Amino acid sequence: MSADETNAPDADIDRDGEQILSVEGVGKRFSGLQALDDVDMTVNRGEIIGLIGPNGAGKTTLFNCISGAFPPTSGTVKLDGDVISGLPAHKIARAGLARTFQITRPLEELTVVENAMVGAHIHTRRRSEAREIAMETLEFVGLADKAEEEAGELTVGAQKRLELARAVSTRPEILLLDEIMAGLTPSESKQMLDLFRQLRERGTSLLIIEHDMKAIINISDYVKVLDQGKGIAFGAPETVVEDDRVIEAYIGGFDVDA
Amino acid sequence: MSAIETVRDRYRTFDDQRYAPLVKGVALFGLLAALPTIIEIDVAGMELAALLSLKVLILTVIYAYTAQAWNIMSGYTGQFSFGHAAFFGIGAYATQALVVDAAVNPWIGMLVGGVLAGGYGLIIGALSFRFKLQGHYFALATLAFAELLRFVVTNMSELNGANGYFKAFPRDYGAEYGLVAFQFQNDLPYYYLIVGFLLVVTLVSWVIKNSWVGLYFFAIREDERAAASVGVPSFRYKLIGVAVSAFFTALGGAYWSMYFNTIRPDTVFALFKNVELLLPAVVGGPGTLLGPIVGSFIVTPVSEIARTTFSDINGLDRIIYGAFLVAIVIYSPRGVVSWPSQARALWKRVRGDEEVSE
Amino acid sequence: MGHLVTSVAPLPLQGGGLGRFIDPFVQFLTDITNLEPVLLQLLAFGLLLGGVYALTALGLTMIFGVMDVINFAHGVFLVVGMYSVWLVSEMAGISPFLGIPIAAAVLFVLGVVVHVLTVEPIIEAPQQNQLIATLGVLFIIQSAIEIVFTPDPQQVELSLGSIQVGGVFIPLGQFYALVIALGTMLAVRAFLNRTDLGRKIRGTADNRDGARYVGINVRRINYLTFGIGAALASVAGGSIALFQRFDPFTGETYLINAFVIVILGGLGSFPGAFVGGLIVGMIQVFGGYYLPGTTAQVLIFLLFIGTLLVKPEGLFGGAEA
Ligand SMILES: Nc1ncnc2c1ncn2[C@@H]1O[C@H](COP(=O)(O)OP(=O)(O)OP(=O)(O)O)[C@@H](O)[C@H]1O
Ligand SMILES: [Mg+2]
Repeated sequence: MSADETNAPDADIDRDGEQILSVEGVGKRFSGLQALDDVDMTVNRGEIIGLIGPNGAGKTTLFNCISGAFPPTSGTVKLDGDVISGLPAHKIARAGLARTFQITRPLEELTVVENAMVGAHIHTRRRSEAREIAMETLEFVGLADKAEEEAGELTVGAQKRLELARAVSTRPEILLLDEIMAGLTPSESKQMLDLFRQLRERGTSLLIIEHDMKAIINISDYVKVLDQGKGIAFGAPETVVEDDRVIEAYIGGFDVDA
Repeated sequence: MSAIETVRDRYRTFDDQRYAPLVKGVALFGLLAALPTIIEIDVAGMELAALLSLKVLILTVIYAYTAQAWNIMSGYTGQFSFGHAAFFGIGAYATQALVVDAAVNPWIGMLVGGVLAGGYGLIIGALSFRFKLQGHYFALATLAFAELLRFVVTNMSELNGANGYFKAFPRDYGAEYGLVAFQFQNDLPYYYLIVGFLLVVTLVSWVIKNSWVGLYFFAIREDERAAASVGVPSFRYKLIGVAVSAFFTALGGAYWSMYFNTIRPDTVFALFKNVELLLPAVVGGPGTLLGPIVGSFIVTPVSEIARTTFSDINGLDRIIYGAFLVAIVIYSPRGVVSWPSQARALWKRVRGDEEVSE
Repeated sequence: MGHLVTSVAPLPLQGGGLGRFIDPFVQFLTDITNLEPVLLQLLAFGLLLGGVYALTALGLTMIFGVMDVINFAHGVFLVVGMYSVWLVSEMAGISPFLGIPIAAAVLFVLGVVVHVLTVEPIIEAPQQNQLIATLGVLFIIQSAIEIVFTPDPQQVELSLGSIQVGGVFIPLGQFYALVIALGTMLAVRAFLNRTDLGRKIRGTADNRDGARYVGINVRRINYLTFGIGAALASVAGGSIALFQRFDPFTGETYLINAFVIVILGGLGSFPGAFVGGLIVGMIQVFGGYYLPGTTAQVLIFLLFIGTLLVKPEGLFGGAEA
């Protein structure tokens, strides 16, 4: 893949599966700062896509635009072919897109299981059913033994898993994970990668922001690179990290040898 | 195993049962129902009634009721209202205006008041939430909406302006003293009636708390953005919270207007009324089911007793009020009902330390 | 401010119907087209009242701006100022004008004490907790005054009389109060702009974390600000006592209007407080004259709510302390 046609994603890449998420010409302007500039990208069903870029590249901003935390100033986002940009966050969640936050946002005075139940209630109004779904996801992420603890009291590692559990409890079609592995121990990171694979096996698509290049190359089918709000590369992980523009973007950032 | 631990374990087993809330509720309301009798029991030549009259009990339960209603909005969804006097006053005025001016039955007046207050709550909520008012700004806005009504009513000759209403006799609206008339010739039925009100609002509160609605409310209180990211429509649920809370607060105002003889803008819409309506919940424990009730049984009798015992010292009750406010938010912002669990945590820590040091 | 307009014949209280809302405005417009002299008189009264109102809001806006705390005890600080001036002049026979600085000193200390005991422990807590704590302080002080001095209204014995300027009648008590208000505002402004401490206070208002970062002792700034805020309240209270009777509950009305002014003018803004004070003063005076009863207050609350919703940062926005 050559660097010049980066903003026409998958132009020369043959990808399987139907499109689940498509970002078309998305821009976001904060007073004076163009945080996102005409970004295009797609995620197909069952894919794991890595989203990387140096600090301040606009990755989290892109997540915010997709998930409805705020609307993009230009462009459209489609989920399953339907336009979702401009919809409020709760509607987008109900349409099947869930996300986690880079800085974890536990519902502190609720218990761990109640945190997950909030997500599960998308599917049912019954407490008992929501509880079942929530317990399943807690089992899945390995928090079941802490189900009755207050979420505010968890360790960093457990908070990250709770963040994942709450999002997974909505049983999303696509999951956006914002640096969920940051701050985890190596063994916790490994478990997390395992969870990603299992999620994919269940048919959930994943869009993952991570700074840990090894993990990204390891897990992603394709990688999208952002720099200063622009998409500068898209392709298979091994090709992307050798792309000149990507290396250039990262110089002074952190090392890219994987 | 010590006796205390046995009791504790038995209690835990009981607490896990599905019927536990029912048993607790029956016990609580049984106690409330028995209170008028209990205060008359003669203990060593002293009747509790000398201190705690039926009037004080009624007042206490009224404020337990209104605090429970306030709690649904402010304790659960975390939208701190400083203007619930607006809803209280609407309930009182709607009832009296309909009873006195149109000879309508007070129960109907009360429901009209509830609906009007719910509507006013929706207006306040829709505007404030749409414009994303938070913290101080939201508290000030709710206060402003309440004060606005006080001055509007004061200036409406149709509602007798500053003079307000004097309660009508039952025969004036074609009823006899009794439940239907919402008027009784002595205090005891009034007491049972307000206990009934409290039971209803507590049940509603319990149902909310134990349904998805309550979980959504709490999620909104904790972190609105996180809640929205997993599908909680926060705007709609905050409005539900305001409307339900306003509706029940208005019923409290209606009761107030049928128990006391007069209402005026300066009493039911008073600046101080806003505080009286929320204080028991804050003292007892905002966001809890028991907090508003426990809080009212602490705050109201103490200030009432201070008022009657030192009747020549006008204002002592407010000093006690003030001291409660300051002490609670500084030392125990989670309220009195959090004390047992905090004591347990402390006890655990102390014992834990001993084990380590051994 | 009913007493202000009694000297000018008020309109009779109108009955029901829509007319009561429309008639006053028709009357107002007629008066304007006729250049009625009463307009000038009302303008003078509005200015006199507005200036004092601005002063009542000054301490509140400063505390709000610097530490983001709504001080519900502000109104009762005002009342303590009134009683201090009254005590000094009645008991010690000192001129009430000299009583004002004494009251300011007393209130500065009281403010610091109140801050250390009630606000400081919960400065990081949710905002409603601070609101409740200062409300508690309000009740305690208000009732203490009531117990010590009875709820009866008091009055500073002072017959200053009035002057006529070009047909406009100006009560001297209010005139002096306005002069004190303007003087105090200028002095505080100079203090904030020129002195080291003042600049630190402004810096803290702009950016608390930044202030901490550059080594400002924010804790000290907090209690000094609270003390100064209380002292400013007492100057306002003392000036009001020059021309008006007061009781332990007088503070409530001033408190509510001070909130309105602070929000109208913009949190922490001094010019905002001045303009906000003038707006509220003018609405009260003109409204009191043209509108029945206390309808003017309804207008003030509508304006308040509108500002909160549409422009919560106020007319003058930003923390300009
Ligand atoms: N709400 C906001 N208001 C103003 N500017 C913002 C906002 N959110 C982000 N920005 C700015 O937009 C740019 C992109 O930020 P963003 O958080 O999206 O970067 P990122 O790629 O997620 O970086 P990191 O790897 O550090 O998380 C930054 O310059 C940031 O300061
Ligand atoms: Mg980021």
